[in-house]
Amino acid sequence: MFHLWQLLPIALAYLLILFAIAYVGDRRAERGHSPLDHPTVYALAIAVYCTSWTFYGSVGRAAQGGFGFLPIYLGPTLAFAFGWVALKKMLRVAKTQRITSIADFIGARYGKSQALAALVTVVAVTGTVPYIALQLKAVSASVDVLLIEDTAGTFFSLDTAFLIAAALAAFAVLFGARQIEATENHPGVAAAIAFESIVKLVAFLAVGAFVTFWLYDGFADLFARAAAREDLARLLEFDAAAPGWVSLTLLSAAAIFCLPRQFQVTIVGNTNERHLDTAIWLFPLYLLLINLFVLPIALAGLLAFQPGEFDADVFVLALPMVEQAPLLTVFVFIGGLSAATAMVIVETIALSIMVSNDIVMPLLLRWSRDRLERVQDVTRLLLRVRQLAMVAVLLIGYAYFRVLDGSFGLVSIGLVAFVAAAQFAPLLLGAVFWRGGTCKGALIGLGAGFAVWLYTLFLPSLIGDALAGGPFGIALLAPQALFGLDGLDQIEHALFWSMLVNVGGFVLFSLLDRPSTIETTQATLFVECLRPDERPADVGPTQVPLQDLRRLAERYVGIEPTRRALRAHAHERGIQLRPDTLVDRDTIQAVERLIAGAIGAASARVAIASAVRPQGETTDAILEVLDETSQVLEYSRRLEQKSMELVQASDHLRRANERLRELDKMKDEFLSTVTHELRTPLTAIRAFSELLFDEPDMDQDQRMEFLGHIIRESERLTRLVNQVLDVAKMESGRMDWDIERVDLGAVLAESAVSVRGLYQTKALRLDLVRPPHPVWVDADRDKLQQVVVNLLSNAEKFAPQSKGTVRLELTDLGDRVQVRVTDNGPGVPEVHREAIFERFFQSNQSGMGNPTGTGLGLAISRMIVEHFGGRIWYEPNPDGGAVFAFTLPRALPRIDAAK
Amino acid sequence: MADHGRGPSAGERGLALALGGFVLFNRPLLDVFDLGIGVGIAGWPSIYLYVFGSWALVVLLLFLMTRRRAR
Repeated sequence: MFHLWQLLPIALAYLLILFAIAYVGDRRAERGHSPLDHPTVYALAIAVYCTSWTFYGSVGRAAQGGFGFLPIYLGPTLAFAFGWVALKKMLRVAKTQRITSIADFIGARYGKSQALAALVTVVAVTGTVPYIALQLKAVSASVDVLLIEDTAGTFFSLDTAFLIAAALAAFAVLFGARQIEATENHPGVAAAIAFESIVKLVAFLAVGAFVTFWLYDGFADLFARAAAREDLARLLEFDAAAPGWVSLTLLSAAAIFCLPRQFQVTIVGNTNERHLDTAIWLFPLYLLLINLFVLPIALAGLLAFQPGEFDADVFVLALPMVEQAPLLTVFVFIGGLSAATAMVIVETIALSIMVSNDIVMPLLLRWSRDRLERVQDVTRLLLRVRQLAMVAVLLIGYAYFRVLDGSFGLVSIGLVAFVAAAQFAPLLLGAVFWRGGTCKGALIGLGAGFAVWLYTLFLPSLIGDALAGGPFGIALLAPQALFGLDGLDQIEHALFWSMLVNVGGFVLFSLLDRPSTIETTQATLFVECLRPDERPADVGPTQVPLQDLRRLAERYVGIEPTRRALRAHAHERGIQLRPDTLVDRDTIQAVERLIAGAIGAASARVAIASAVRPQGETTDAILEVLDETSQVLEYSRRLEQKSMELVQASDHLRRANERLRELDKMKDEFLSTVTHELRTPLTAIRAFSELLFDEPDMDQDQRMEFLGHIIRESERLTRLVNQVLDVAKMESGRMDWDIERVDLGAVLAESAVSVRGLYQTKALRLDLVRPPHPVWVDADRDKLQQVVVNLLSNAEKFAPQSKGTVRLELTDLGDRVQVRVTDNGPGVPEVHREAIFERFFQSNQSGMGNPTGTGLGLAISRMIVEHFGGRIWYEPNPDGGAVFAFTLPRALPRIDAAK
Repeated sequence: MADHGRGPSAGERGLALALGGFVLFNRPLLDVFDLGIGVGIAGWPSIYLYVFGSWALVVLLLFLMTRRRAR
């Protein structure tokens, strides 16, 4: 119907419009009005799910199996309903971890594993190849239908499909690899894709309306006419569609998340979690609308054309064309082209990101690190790699298209790609729901599933039935009927076996494996990502100066973004970042996340490791260091410390409690003893007083004697009360100490004088021995004298009458001074040597009398001496008798020695 | 925060809707409405009406589900 010179400009013009939209979208995004701010754009971008497969292939499938095309769209509808929570988690994690692709996501979850990310990339690329071939096939078929020139599929001796592939490659590169985005959002591309989704929908609805209401008199008429024909009537019953209905639904439900391009637009391309709320219903609505007219168009085509006149896949074009509606035909063609280009652009962008981040970058980092370091601007290198990857993917897609076994219809080719993508489903589900999933399990599961897919679908698609009998004739290993399981549709068969080994391997090897620290950290991060945020403990600084880190980031992300990110980080944490500041782990992680936006999480980790450690260490050692000193370890160490401190604190409390109880008991004892002691002299005083009162005629001598007793007991009572007061004051710390520099020798002399009377009464001798010079101590003069007098009076009490000698001696021991009071009395028995210093201990208990003693003298002396920092004790005299001694620390010489 | 049985969470509702949809879109319910091409409303085959009708219902429920959350 058309000449090439008519068709080509139209196609080019449309593509240029697309490009313009993308360009404007990017510009507006830079200025802050990103197209991705609108949830509708986001939802429509997800509609890239509907490719030329939807546009052409659905009708083709409907012509064969009635409703059989529908599960491919029902599945995603159900998946969106069911997977809301899963999607939210994935969105949250992708945002915080700066995920750039599905390979990045899976690799990051299972321990930031580069190997796993690389495997995912390989599976994604291999699995997409059939899908790209499908687009090429559809578009070239549509061109062939429209062109008047009988080019028989060639043009200028160049294959139409090849030209289309080349054109698509050029546009993909122009759209997707002009600059490295920090977030891989590509707002311009998203705007263009959303526009294309609208064009697709409108075009399909237009042709559908045309067929139903123009060619026929509405649905009723069309269906009635179809029902009249036997071969068509069966299409309107479910039986025709039944085979594979359930498995196709499930498969598509998986594909809507696992197809690399779907992951890219749904998860990576999301800027706001709330947009999900709109997409959840808007996208299924889109699917419903675009499928409304599929069956009518198929029926109309079957009604209008003879079998074989047109391939059912192109009914959409053939019908308006045959009916001489050129404008509509062109519109439909553009719609189909739109569907194909949208898919190719998004898919190649996604794949190129994966190839550059997860295959090329890690290889470069590992093998030619020095060469890489010399490259000033790594972003240019990355872009080149991505552009090459895009072109390569399209070339491989074209090659596959050529080699493809002819027996595969459009839909079947697409389903081959679906099963490949479905291999990611267990890993994705496990990523956000199952903490037990480990890297090893994921590698084995994915690897096994991929191998089965290769063998049961990919291989047969290339070589057809050549191996139908099994390799080397082993029927059990026949690709289409493994282990004798025939009777299943080829797709179902492959799906069953690949899922079996995939899920089985994943679960089994994850359970058997013991995950490393980094795997556990990541597992928690992913699965618990919807819980409120808790910042782990802050770790101290590392040995890395900020400028090293900055230079590293600048090379991957650019100067300006790095500066902005670092400034934001410093501001958020309220710290200062100078070039020579040693950064801490928080900052390193922030920079790691920044770089991950450009080259993927796994590669970013290695790149950071090279900055944190000097050259020369192996990558494994570096990574191990990063692993083993992870924040999780630090946090748990601090928890342990805290719990130990808690145990110690409770221990202290318990002991303090015990001590309080003891003190309480002692206080009670003290009170009871004191009252007892008070009562004894009081009783005596009262007794004698009563006697004197009762007998006024007592004789003078008797009276004087009794009064003497009363006086003595009163004195004793007074002494006791004073001493008790002293003890109480000293123990409660309320004693007033008048500490000054005191000459101990002078104190001794004065004490000797004060007891002279006492000693003379008993005819005792008192010798005082002291050095001629003053001996200075820091003490309370009066209290010190009290101690010495106490010792001297004790000695007097126990010294034998008339023969007693008491020796008071002061010696200088360098840093201490010692005072000794020696007597030749009976001494103190060994058992009592410590006890005599206790309160209320009296020698009456051993039978030796001291009726005037209170039992507190020595106790008070001890308290006084110890308050001055000294020590008091008892020694036995080798000549019999007692020695009481105490030491005091010598007063330190003063600079201004005032006399 | 009032918490007297706030009803199913978003995840539970989504799951219920998905399971319900799965049942709707499958045999045997599908067969119930597959009454043959002749039977239908205004010439539309019943099965066609059923499939797209229930699909529209699911979409509507999805829409309502998100409105509820947005509140």
